[in-house]
Amino acid sequence: MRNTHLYTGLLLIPVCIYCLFWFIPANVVPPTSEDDISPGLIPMIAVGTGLIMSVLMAFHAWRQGPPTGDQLDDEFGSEATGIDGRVLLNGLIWAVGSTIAWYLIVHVGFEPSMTLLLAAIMLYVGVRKPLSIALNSVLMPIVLSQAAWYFFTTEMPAIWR
Amino acid sequence: MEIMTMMAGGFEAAFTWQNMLFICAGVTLGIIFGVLPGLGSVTALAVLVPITFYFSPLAAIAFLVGINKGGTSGGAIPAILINAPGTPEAAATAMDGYPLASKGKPEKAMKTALYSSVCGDTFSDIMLILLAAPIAAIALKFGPIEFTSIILFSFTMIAALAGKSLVKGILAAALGVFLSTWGLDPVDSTERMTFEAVELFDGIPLLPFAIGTLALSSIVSQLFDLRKEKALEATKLRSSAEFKEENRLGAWEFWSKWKTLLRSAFIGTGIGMLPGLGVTLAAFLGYGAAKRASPNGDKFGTGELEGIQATEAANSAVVGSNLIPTIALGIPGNVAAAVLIGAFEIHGVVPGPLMIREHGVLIYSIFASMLMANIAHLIIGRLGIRIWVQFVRIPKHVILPTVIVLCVIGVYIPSNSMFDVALLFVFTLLGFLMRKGGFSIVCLVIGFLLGDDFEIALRQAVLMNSNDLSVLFQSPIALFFLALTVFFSWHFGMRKPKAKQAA
Repeated sequence: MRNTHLYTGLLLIPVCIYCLFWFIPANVVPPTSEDDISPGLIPMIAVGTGLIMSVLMAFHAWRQGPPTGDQLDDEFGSEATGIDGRVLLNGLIWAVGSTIAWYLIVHVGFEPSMTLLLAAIMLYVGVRKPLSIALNSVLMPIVLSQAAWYFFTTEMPAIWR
Repeated sequence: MEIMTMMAGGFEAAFTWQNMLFICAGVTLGIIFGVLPGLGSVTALAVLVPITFYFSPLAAIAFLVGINKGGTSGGAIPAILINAPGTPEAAATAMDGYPLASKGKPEKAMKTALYSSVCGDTFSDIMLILLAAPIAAIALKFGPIEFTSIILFSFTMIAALAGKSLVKGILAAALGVFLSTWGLDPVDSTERMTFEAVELFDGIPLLPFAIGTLALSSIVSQLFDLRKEKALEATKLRSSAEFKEENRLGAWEFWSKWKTLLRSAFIGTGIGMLPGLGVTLAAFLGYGAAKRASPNGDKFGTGELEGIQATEAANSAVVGSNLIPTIALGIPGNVAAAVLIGAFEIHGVVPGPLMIREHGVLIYSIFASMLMANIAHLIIGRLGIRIWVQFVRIPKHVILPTVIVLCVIGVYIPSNSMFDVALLFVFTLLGFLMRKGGFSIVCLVIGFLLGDDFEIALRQAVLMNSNDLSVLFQSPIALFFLALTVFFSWHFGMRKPKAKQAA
């Protein structure tokens, strides 16, 4: 977790500086009344706080010696493993997979894209039973899409509708 | 007198068949989500909030409260049966529940957990009904200056208590506040970080944000872990049929430990009232207190009924009392209350001290629904004990991918917007990285929810005092909360990392 704190802090410092000096000023208009504070003040305070905390986190991690055995995180327990190469790779897989799924939903339709997504996920996690994969990945999107239509009169996106 | 009139009106409005139906549906779904591996009440709330768009405000909140109650106790079932807590707070239940189930008494353990849960929950609901209105009446005397300092104090407290590191907690809350400022400015209605996208004019929508960071990120994280574990076999359960007599739970056997129930209910209620302290802490504190106080303390961990009673009464007592700061001050007690705040806002009810005055009948209807939900919980939970067991058998690799589809549908239905689905996927990635890095998602979500209120309160205070920020130091109440903020920051910022047992 020490490396996670150090690298996240070092990454967030330039991001916060960029937000403070370019991103927020470029995307916020000045106040309309002289008595009002700038609409950019709260975002600036939030990012400024983030900058201070990032510096503190990186500094603390840098001063901390080599790890002496990690303790479990209060909120996530053993799920909080630290952000290492494998986690970043998993994040990338999710980013690419979800982008493809989103694109397919928009340009093909909800049911086929969700069928592909479910089948891919089940194969990815190690399921090798064709019947189980087929039933879950084909039936579930159809059933849920029909439920959306009959209960909420919402048509999920599809090129044939 | 006015409160009595509102209470009578509220209880009258709540006692309808339609409302009862929504409560029962909520409790049932809550238990199922609690039992299903990898899910839980927060996931259930986040995923099912969108469908309440089509309900009346009372039915929607009653439904969600039912889910929260059912989900909190449902997690105890896999904890007892297979030593795999469905929810983090049920980990304490597993310490005595699983050994008792191993002795051939799983039904007895589940009945004890259910009855204790309902007792703790009912106690907490009564405290909510008694305390919410008086606290809200005091809070009505607060102006924007006081609210600014209270929200600042809440941020610090949540950041300090929600995780192990104050710095990471504040960082997550600051990100939440920053994201809450995207969209039209609440005072001038000028654009802020909208990139001229119409979809962002109303700000980042709550649903993709909440579902992505809370629910879907957890599912994605578990899916990646599942690939690593390769533990795909369906769970084998112990049968209690051969031990029918031993699975009976007598009234005396249960009520003889009433002191444990009451103590745990007090602990859970107290913890629920404080922002940032979670259900898990209540469960472990309740268990620890019972172990110290009980003459059978040395037998805890070997299948003591008292251990199950202590944890379940404590963790369920959080459910009602965490609505006290939510309703009285508009500050969520924990992440489930934060999701409920979102649901209130979706239905045009703004949580805070004015809530009881403006929506008194609705609030008391919700209180009545909470009491009704306890009865429903008792009946449904008891009748369904053998059915819930079957849900434990469904393997994770079937459940988890299905929830992804549910999340996409849940976000798409209310908005009919693929932009929101894209946001869902983005916030899922953010939530996933935060989980792995141990950055508090509770702080992120509460920062996002309170960011708007904080900005409005601060800017109102400044506008009323000609752009003078020193007004924050002129009110004694504001000064008190600012002093508490400084004290908490110092106290928790300076503390050494605490040792935490892996168990």
